Amino acid sequence: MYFHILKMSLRALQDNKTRSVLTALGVIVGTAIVIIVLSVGAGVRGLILHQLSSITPETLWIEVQIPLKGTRAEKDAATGQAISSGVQIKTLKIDDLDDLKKIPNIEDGYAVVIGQEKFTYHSEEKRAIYWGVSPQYQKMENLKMSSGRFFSMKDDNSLSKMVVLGKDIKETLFGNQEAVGKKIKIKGQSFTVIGVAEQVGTKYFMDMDEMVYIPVQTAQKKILGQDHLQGISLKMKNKDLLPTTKSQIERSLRRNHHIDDPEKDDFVVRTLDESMEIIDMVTDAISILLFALASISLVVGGIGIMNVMYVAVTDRTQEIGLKKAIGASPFAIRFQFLSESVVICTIGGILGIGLGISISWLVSFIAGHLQYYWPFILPTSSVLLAFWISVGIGIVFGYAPANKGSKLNPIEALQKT
Amino acid sequence: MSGIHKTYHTGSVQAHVLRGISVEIKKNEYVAIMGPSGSGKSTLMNIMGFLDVHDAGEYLFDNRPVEGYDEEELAEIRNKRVGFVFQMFYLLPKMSALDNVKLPMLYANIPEKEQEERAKQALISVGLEDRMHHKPNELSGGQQQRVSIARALVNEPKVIFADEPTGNLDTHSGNEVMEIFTRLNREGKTIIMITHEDEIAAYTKRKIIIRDGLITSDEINHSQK
Repeated sequence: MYFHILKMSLRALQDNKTRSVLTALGVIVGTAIVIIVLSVGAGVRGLILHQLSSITPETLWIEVQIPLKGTRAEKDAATGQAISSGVQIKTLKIDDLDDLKKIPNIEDGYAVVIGQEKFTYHSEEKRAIYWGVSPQYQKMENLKMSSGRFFSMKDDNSLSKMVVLGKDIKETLFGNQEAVGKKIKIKGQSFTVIGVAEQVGTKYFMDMDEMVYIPVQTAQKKILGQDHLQGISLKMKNKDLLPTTKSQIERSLRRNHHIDDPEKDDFVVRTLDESMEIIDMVTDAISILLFALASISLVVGGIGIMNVMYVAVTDRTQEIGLKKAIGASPFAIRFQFLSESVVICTIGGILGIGLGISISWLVSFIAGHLQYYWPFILPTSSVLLAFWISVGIGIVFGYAPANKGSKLNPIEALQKT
Repeated sequence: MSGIHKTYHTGSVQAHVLRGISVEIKKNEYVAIMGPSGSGKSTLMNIMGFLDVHDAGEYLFDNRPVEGYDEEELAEIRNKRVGFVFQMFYLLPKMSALDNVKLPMLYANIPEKEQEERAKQALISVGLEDRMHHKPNELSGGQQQRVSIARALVNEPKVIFADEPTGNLDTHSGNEVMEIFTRLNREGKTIIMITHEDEIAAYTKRKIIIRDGLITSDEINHSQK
């Protein structure tokens, strides 16, 4: 009996193809969003993790912040605002790095200043971001050279005017020519190219191949005219000693910066765990937002289905009356209309799943073309979730109209014209 | 049944349609219920045929009171114990004659193969063996009514109710339909029919006349056609 009623439902839907598809639109969009949220969400996570893949559990990152009471997020927000409006925090110095390296569990570290300048070679010029870093950068970030060498401690300490070029900026300035040994101009001063890096790709969301590396002290004194840093990267020998090491770092920096109240710290020590928490927080927030959108679309779709099913019950009152007169039970009538709404929603759900998969794939395909590592991940759970949600909507929103139909008085329904 | 009352409420208007009907119809009777429009004859038949429920009185069907039945049980009685033939046929327009006849068996959970066989037999018995796969709109009125008789018969009910079954038919088709009912009665079915035509009533064995919700006449027809 159920099979036959189901067949009748399918036929009823076929007779109203356009209406059925329009009805299912809300469900199609809703399930597509569910798939996109879960698939693209997984892709974004993959992308972020890949960008940060050089951060190991041993890595610690120290950067400046505005001294402020409040939560981590509030401090980060205030610092971002202050820096973008030109406020500088000048307290983090090379001396701090030297002191931090004395902590037993610290294996090595490098200092960072970041800037942007115009780089000129003969008639070729290019604006690029440069990283002023300590010589330890090469080893700690595993930077490979395609020609020449990276700078040494001696180069840094003697404020030598030399640069290492990323692969792409070397090609912009020199084309196929040999670059090592040539001189380029920065702010009117001559710098010698001593090396060219191998291709790196994007890292920390920056295109490292467009980057110029300069010895940190040279960058401070000869280009920026400052003696503070933007950040310090440290590597621990043993990651299990993180809590002790972190408090040793904080104590050392507070001593150097004459701070006795931790609330007034002008620096922050970041760890991989913290970064992961932030990433999870961001991706979760995006997911919640999109899920809210998906829910709205699904509820709207469900109400659409309910509306159409009420119309169907009214349209077919006489059919219901006849079926009841020849012995259809209320249950059979309910089953008939419920199966119609479930079939609409299920078909809508399947179309939506297809649409969602296509869009997710397209996103990762385009991102891949733009040189981002964006894996196409389709969690099985997302497909199952989307499918069952659409079936559930058919049941939940189809029940009331089906129930109304099942309760009609047979003779009154029959005589309705 | 005895002392049957039925009142319809439409807004503030009350229509006391049945005012105490008492009648007994035995197995294998062939009854015509007659009366002017508004007399309550259709209401009486709908109550007898389980399409409607009376407000007061007692109705014994097969020696059992029907007042306690719930919706699912009523559906089963309508499905298996009685068959209905309507003036307007009420065939489902998108289904073939055969599928229309199969419909009651669908709700009786009869296996597909048996449904097919029994529906064909029923259509043959009303003389429509060459019209099985036609849709209702491809059939004449008489043919449509014969399909609906086949549908009423297919679950082998003991009683068949017919509400002006010839009301929408020409005389020739009407006579054909009446001959089928007469044959069915001879084969043992109880037939209860509403009509306002004396020629149609002449086919039956008993004539009940209703006026203003009461039975005014109930007599045996000694000159059955």
